Amino acid sequence: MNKLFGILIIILLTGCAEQRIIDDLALMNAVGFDLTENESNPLKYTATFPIITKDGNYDRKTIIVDGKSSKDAREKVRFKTNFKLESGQLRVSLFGQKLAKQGMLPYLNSLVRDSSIGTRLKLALAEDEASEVLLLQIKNEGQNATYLEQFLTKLNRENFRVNYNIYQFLRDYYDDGIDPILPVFKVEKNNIAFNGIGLFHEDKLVEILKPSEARYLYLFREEMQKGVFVEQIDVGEEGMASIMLNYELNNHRIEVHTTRKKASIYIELIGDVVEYTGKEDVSDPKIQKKIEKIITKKINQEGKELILKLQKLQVDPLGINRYVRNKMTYKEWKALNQYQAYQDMNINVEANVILNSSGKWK
Amino acid sequence: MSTKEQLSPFQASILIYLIQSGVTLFSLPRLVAEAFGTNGWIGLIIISIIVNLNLVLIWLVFKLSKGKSMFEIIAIFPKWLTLPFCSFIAIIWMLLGVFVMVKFSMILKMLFYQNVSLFYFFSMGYILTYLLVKKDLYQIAKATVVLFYFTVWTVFLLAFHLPEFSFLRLTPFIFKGDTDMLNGGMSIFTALLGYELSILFIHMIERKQLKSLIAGNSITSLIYFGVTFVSFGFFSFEQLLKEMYPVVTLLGYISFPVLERVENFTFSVFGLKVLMTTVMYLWGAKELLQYQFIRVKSNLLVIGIMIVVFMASFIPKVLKDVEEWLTYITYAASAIAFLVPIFLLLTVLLTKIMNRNPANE
Repeated sequence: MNKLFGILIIILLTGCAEQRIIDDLALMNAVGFDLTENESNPLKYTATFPIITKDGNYDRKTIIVDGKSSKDAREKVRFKTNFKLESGQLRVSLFGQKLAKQGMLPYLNSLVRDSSIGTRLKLALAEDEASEVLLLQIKNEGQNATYLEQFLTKLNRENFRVNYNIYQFLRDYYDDGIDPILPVFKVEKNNIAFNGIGLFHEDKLVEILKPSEARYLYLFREEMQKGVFVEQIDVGEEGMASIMLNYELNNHRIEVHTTRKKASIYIELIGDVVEYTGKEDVSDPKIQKKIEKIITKKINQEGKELILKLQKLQVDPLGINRYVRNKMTYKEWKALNQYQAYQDMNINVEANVILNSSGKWK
Repeated sequence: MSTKEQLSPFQASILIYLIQSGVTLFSLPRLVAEAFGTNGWIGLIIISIIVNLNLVLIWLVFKLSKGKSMFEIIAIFPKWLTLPFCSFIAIIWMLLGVFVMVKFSMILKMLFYQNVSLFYFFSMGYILTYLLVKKDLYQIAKATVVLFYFTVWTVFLLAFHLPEFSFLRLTPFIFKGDTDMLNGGMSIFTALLGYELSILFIHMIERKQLKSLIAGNSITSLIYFGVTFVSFGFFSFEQLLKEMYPVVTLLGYISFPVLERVENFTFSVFGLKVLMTTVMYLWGAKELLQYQFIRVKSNLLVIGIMIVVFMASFIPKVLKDVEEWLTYITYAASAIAFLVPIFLLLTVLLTKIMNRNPANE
């Protein structure tokens, strides 16, 4: 009797919890943050969620409001829809360039504080306005949020390690030896395209690297494992030749010298030639040696240029300062002007490229 | 209340582990970071050793008294003398058991079920608690083993965080930054609390008493250590200080191919560990009260306790209150954990001396 009573109560109690019927929910899957000119409501908040239209089609609805803060704006969105607003399915959060330049932390704080939002919420930048990217109607493409989420996952899988979720961004922001980066998207001919990497100094966007510049950035960051290298190389008498390698990053380490004035990034690439437009026979070991040398030199040079640029901008997406920190005592580290020291450092790239094969054609 | 059936060392270890691991686990990495600063996980080892020393103390009582239970030892005192002490300890344990459950329910509500009334969480929790507490220890221990296998797999979820783990983030600094060793260390010590209940059942363990107790504490410490260590390499240090419940975030970071946001499930599974903590503290309180009021029927006592406990659950209104209550209660419980074995040890030695004197005459 006693047991029966207990079981009965346990089963019946579960029915008392609040019910949520999925057809009546606005499950937001992306939000966008932009700045407005309006002083009293400086934030332009874009929310998009999927809906089922009356004739049974899968569609989406995008609402734009101006607000004082992100939650203030979210409350305003509530007045603009007949559905119950839920942020538990939020996948992507997009930030406009102007807003990112002023600092992202306040917005990130309100995202991370909200317990209904997951830790793997992906972040990205829009080259102009976030609302523009989210509003874009691409024919037969469906949800922009799903598109962006897939895009980001794909980039990550293809080893463009820009897959930055809110945990990773905050981790690198709060870590005192590295600065976060974020992927940038832009609207281009009625399509959403990946258009580079945003570099951050603390929580403020400083500069956007074009995809062509950014590929060395991936190479020098530790998470990279394999990738594609396409380059025009100077092969002497015959002028330029185009080469494409499928490579594996075999070795990657960053060493800071004890003087802390000098650092070296060692990388070792092993690659297979997929394309070569030069006239020479790439399967010849001698030619291979020559190409190896040319590519190595190119990476060292262009890598150095990129790093100089990063140093000038005072951004440290490679986390060089972490290695510096790990060579110091706590007192020294706290007394150090990190960005100044970073700027004054001499950072070299020591690449080593090895050709593994010339593909399946001689 | 002695039972004929005895606990196997394995059961005893698991019992200790499940009493210990409770609701503090969710904030533990942050507490460790606040207390010991960078690389604070090392400090956890020190705390664990202190607990082991306390366990040795409890074992000494058992050894010197030649296997007597706590109640047999204090039987030399008149009941009116032991009454205030026993009631005090019983109240502290009862409140500790309650507030652990309350805190878990409140976190659960805040994080996942904002719109569900706490009343339902309490009701569900206490029905399960009641069903276990009214049984004797051997039955509880059997249930514990099942719950252990239910929950222990969650440890392996830590493997999901290895891709994001970096030794670089650990930094070479040891115990640097803003540290608060004393208060912080105390709050970490309370995370391991629960082992002191073993004073009530050490005599029921078949063999290898000390080893099984220390093994129990080692399981807890190892799990705490693993979680904390992974957190220090997974989060950056400043970020860890900002995370209210780093372990919930850790759970939230796990992704499965088909399921999104599994932490709702895993977090609820942790509820079983919290349940055992509550059950055992209430059981301890029940044993103490039963000793004092031998005439009251055991079942009636349990129901009485459950009613009091259910009422007490509604005293604190917000999480902040619960945390404040818990701080004081755990301080008291920590004092009990050390003082009771010392007191019992003195009693045992005293009785020995007194018994020897007449024999010499």
